[in-house]
Amino acid sequence: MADQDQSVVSGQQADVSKLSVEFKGNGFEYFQIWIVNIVLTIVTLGIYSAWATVRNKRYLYSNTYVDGTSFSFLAEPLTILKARLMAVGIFILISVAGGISPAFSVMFGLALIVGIPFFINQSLAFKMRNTGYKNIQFRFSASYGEAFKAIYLWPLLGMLSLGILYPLAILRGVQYRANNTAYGTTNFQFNGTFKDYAIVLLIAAGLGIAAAIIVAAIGQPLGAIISLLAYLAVIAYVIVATSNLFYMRLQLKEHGFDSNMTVLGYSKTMLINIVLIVLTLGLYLPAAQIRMIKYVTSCITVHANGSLDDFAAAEQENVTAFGEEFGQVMDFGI
Amino acid sequence: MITGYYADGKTSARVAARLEVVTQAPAIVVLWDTDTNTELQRSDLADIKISSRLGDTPREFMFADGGLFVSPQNQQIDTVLKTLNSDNGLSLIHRLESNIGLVLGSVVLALLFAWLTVTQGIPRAADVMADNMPEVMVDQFDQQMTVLDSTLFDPSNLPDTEQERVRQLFQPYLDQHSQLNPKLHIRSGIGVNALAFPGGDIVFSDELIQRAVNDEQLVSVLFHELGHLQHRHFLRRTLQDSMVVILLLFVVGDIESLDMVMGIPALLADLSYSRDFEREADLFAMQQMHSNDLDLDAFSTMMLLLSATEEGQDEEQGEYKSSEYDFGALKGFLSTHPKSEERAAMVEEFKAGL
Repeated sequence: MADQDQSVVSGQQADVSKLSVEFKGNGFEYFQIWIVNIVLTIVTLGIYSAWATVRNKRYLYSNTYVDGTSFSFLAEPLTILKARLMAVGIFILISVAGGISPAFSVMFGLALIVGIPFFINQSLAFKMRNTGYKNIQFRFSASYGEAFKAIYLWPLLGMLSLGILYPLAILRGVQYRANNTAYGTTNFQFNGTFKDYAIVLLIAAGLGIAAAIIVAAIGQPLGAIISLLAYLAVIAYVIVATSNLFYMRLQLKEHGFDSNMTVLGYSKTMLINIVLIVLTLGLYLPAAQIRMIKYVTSCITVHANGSLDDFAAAEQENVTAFGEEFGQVMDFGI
Repeated sequence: MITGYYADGKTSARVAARLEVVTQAPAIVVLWDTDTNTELQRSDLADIKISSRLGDTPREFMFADGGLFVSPQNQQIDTVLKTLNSDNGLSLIHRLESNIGLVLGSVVLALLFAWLTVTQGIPRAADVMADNMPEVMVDQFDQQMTVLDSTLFDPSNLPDTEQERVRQLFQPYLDQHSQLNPKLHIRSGIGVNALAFPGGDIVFSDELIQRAVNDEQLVSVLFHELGHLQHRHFLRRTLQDSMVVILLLFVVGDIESLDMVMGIPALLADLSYSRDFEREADLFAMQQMHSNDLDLDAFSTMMLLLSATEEGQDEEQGEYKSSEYDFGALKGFLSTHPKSEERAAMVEEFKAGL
């Protein structure tokens, strides 16, 4: 386990208490909010979508409790609306310009490649700036270079090395996100290693190869179903293993985290969700989201080493919502 | 009296607190530390930003200096705010959200809207957009045969004389539609199949040419593919598919954990559009067969030949309508092409209307 207590102040008696993370919302209540949001968005020709986003997010944040205190979503609908209109406007402009001359599309494509690290930085900064817990906001701040390396350089090296450096690429990506995030003035620290991710990827590859051998042995009619199930199982394994790893290796000052999601539990939640969404023509979607959040939060614990009361607030700052909204319109959001 | 907790916004410490209304007009409230009975805040109610009611989530009172009082007592808060006439407009939204009748109405309205958008709005919008697509964009398809030849297709194995015969057979009909700039290519490697690409490239497979019993049947397939070109189906399908994705994004927002599920409605919409386009191309083919005095039954016979092929096609891994697996009632829903019986019935209907 990652309980390397190097940051514990000596002399202070460490009493680690395990605090559970709890989601108290319920699927039907969220469904009511969600469906009214959709109809108001339609009726207002999309303008209400910014208020809808805020109400949906507020519901999810306000119902997530750690140590009996809930998170808050702080963004203002008008901020989101302005950014959303700007992003959609630019998207239309680009499409029209691209229609007039393909040279514009090429130029824009290049500009977008250069711009993406900047927008992702902005988007994460906006998300964190608008997340509060006990009236202290989170922060995210990273340089363009850090984002560029995490988004382009490391994944590229992972590919060029035929996957040998791929665990490192994932590790650098997680470090970029975690280490640049702060609760108030206190930065998170991610202690995962190359080895951690190499093991996850090797197990995933092993599962894939084992499934391929079984399918080859069984033959076609049944094999197709088995390969589909194996594909889903490998995806579920990677999701579960990497998110458990994320929390187990994450630290906030002397406090740690843990997560014990299982492939079985995650797959069960996912399958029930998919079946119910299909059967209800998509109406189960909000309840499915709640079911998944409930499962994930029920697996996470915070290992508080002493009091959680002494985090200090960061300086006030303003981040525009443009990066976030532009990312969604252009589909590169993370 | 409303109870909850207070966090001053400077550190992450929280204390138990209670909010009391001291005077009614102007409405002044005082926030007390419950444990020490000291005053934490004293403020005009109008200077406090109170979050609107949202389900049963805790309410937040943000004071001007950044201090935050949070209380789960929604019922008491609403009562107090009402008596002080400080009910902000957003509580109307909460009343909509908690009214079962309105929620049910919303469900019907949302489903109806989704249905109309997908079946009517998007196809029409794509039609208009395709009409106004500038020429330069169409030019981008020029290099496609080179790419397809090196990836998807193999060269034809038919003798040159047979290839030449098919070209001669098709030439007059290609000339009739020269405005579509059609170019015939004969290839193999795609099973029993014929394809039309934007820009005018029409590909017939060796196997399809061999399968046809007579020339009129081949011509009927050519007209079907010309129909795809005439109605710019490739472009419209691309436009429609991207609009469906944008619509989904707008409605459900960013649901990261459900990416796998979001593909399903998009796929169903795509397949439904595909079937509509096939019908449109079929209709075009029948009209052309009729105006060229060709036997309309050649078209329906060809469809039956192709569907017979498809049933025995698993072992020769052909691709013609390969997505049409047998799912019983679901079959029609999950296939790219209308059922063969439906297409034959369409021919009869067309003949009856002549």
